[in-house]
Amino acid sequence: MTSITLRKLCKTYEGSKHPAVENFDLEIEPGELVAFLGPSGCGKTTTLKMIAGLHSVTRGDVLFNGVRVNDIKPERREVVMVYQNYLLFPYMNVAENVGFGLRMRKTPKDETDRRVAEILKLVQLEGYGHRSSAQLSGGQKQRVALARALVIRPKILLLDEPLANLDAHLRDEMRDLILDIHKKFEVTTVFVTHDQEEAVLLADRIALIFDGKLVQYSHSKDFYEKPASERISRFFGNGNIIEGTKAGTTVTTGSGAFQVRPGLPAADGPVQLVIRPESIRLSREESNSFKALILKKIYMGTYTRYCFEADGHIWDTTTESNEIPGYEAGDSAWFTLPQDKIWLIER
Amino acid sequence: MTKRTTIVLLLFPTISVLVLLFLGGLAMGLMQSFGYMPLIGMNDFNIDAYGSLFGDQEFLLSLALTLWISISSTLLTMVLAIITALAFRKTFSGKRIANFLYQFPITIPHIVIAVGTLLVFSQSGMAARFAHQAGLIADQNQFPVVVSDKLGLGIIYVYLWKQIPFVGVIVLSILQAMGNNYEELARSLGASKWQAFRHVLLPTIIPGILPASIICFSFTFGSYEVPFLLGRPYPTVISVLAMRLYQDVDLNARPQAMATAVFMAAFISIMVVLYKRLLGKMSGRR
Repeated sequence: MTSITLRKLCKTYEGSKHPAVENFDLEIEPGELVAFLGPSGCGKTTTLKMIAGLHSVTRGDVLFNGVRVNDIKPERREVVMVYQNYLLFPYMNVAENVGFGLRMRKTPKDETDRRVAEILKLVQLEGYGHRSSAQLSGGQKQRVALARALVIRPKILLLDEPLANLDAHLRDEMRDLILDIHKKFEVTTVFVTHDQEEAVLLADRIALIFDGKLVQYSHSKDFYEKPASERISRFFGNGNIIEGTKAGTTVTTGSGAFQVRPGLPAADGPVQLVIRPESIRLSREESNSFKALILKKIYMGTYTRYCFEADGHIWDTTTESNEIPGYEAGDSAWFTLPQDKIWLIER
Repeated sequence: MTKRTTIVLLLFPTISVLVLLFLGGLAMGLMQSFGYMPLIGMNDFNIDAYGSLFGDQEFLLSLALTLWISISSTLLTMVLAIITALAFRKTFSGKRIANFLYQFPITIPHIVIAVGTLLVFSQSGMAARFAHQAGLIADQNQFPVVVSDKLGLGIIYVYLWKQIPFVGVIVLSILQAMGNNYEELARSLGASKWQAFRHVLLPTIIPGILPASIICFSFTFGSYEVPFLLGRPYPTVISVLAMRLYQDVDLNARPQAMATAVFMAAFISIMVVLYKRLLGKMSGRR
C-alpha cells in the first residue's frame, strides 16, 4: 500500500497570474480513502492531476511512500485516474477498453484476457466484453471505467467526480461498489467531489479546498462539529453562526449568554458561536435555552425545519417530525443549545 | 401548391444545372470516348480509344506520375497536418501570428502559388539568383531542379502549401473537441506519449480526416493548372495529357482525349466508393 504526501504543492498555469493550487500540505495514509472536496474551480482536479503526473508541479513536491515522484512520468507512477465522463474509447469494445492498460504494458494476451474477464465479473459486467461502449448505460460505463483502472492493479486510484453523471439510484449503487473495491483492493484512493454528502458518505478523511488552498483536512464529523471557519461551516450546510464574545466558558450573544464546554480552542474575546441545526432542541426553559419567535415551519417528511428569531438573529433547527410538539409559525418557543454541541470560531 | 411540388420547384434550378452541365457533359464525353462523333463521320461505337490508351507508354507514364504526385502529396499532407495541428494545440508565444501565417495559404488560389513557386524556385528564379549572388553556387544552373523536375517536386510542394492548412484546421478542430482528457487517461493507464498518440489520438483523428484526404487525392489527381505550369512536358500528368489531346488539331485524337478524361472520372469514383466503405467499417466499430 502507498502513502501520498503533498509538500507545499503549488500550480500556476501558463499565462495565469493566480495560482490554481497554493501551498498544499497533505498526508494520505496507505490504503486510505480521501475526498478532495470544494466548489468548482477550486483546484481539486488540478491537485489530482499533479498526483497522477499529468500536470507538472510549479513548486513543491509529491511523494509516494516518502519518495519524491515529481519527475516520474505518469505512465510509470502506477497511479490511475478515472474521469467523471468515463472516457471509454469509442472505437474499442468493452473488453478492449478494459484491457487497454495491460496492452500498453505488453502483457501476454492470455493473461490480459483472463484478467479482463476477472475484473468484468467483479464489476458485475460478466458477458459484456464484446459490447460497444455506445450500448452501455451511464452506470455500466462508469463500471467499465473503474474496471479499466483496476485491472492494472494500481498503487493509487484517483477518481474525478465519479458519481456526478449518475442518476440518484445509480449513485448509491456506485458508492457501494467504490467502497467494496476500496476494501477488496486496499488501494490508496483519492476522489474529487463538490458534493459534501458524497464526501462524507465515502471518505475516511476529507480535504476541503477553497480557492486553491487546503482549508481543513480531517474526518468528516469534524467539518460538522468543529469547522475551522465560517465559510467551512456554511459549506457544510450550517447557517447557525452567531457573533458573540467569549469570557471563560461563557459566550454572550444577542440571543443570550450560553455556557460552552471547557477546553475549546478559541481564546477569550470576539468569537462566532456555531451549532448544527439538528443539535438545537425545542424545549422548555432550561440551562442554555432562550425564547424565540418561530418565523417559518417547513415539513420535510422525516424532519421538520424551524426558522426562528431572537433579538435580530435568525436561527435554524431541524427536528424529527414525530418528536415535535405542535408549534406553528408565529408561536414563541424555548430553544436549547446543548453545551457539548457548541463550537467556537475565533474572530 | 402541394408539398411535393414545392420541393421539386426548389430543387429544379440546381438539379437542372447539374444534369445538363455535368451529366450531359459526361454523357457526351463518354460517347466520344467510344468513338461516336457523327459530326466528323465517326458513327460506330468502339473501344479503340481505351485500347490505345492502355497500350500507350506516354499514358502509362502519365498515370504513374499522377499517382505518385497525388498519393505522396496526400500522405505528406496528412502527416504534416497532424504534426502542425499537434503543435498548434499547445500554447506558445507568437501563436496568433504563426496561426495566421499557417492558415493564410487557404485563401490563395493554386495558380498564384504555382506562379510564385516558378518565380522563386526555378533555375532562373529569385532563389537561384540569390544563391549565385551570395556565392553559394557558381552558376544558376547548379541550383537544384525543384521546378519542372522528374519527380514533380515543385507540384507536390504547391499542393502541400495549400492542403496542409486545409487539413490542419480540420485536425485541430477534432483535437480541440476531443480535449486532453483521453490522452491523459491513456498516460495514466500506462501508455507512453507515442502509445497515447498511436492508440488514442490517431484512431480519433483518422475518421475525421479521411473525407479531407479523399478531397485532396481527388483534387491532386485531376488538377490541371499546377502541373501545367510546374511540370515537365514529358511525361506529364493525366489531366494535362487529356487537355493536350483535346486541343489537338486532329479531331481523330478526340476519342482518346475523352477516354483519358473518362478514365480519370472513373478512377476517382472508385476511390470515393472505397473510401466510403472504409469509413463505413470505421463507423461500424463505434
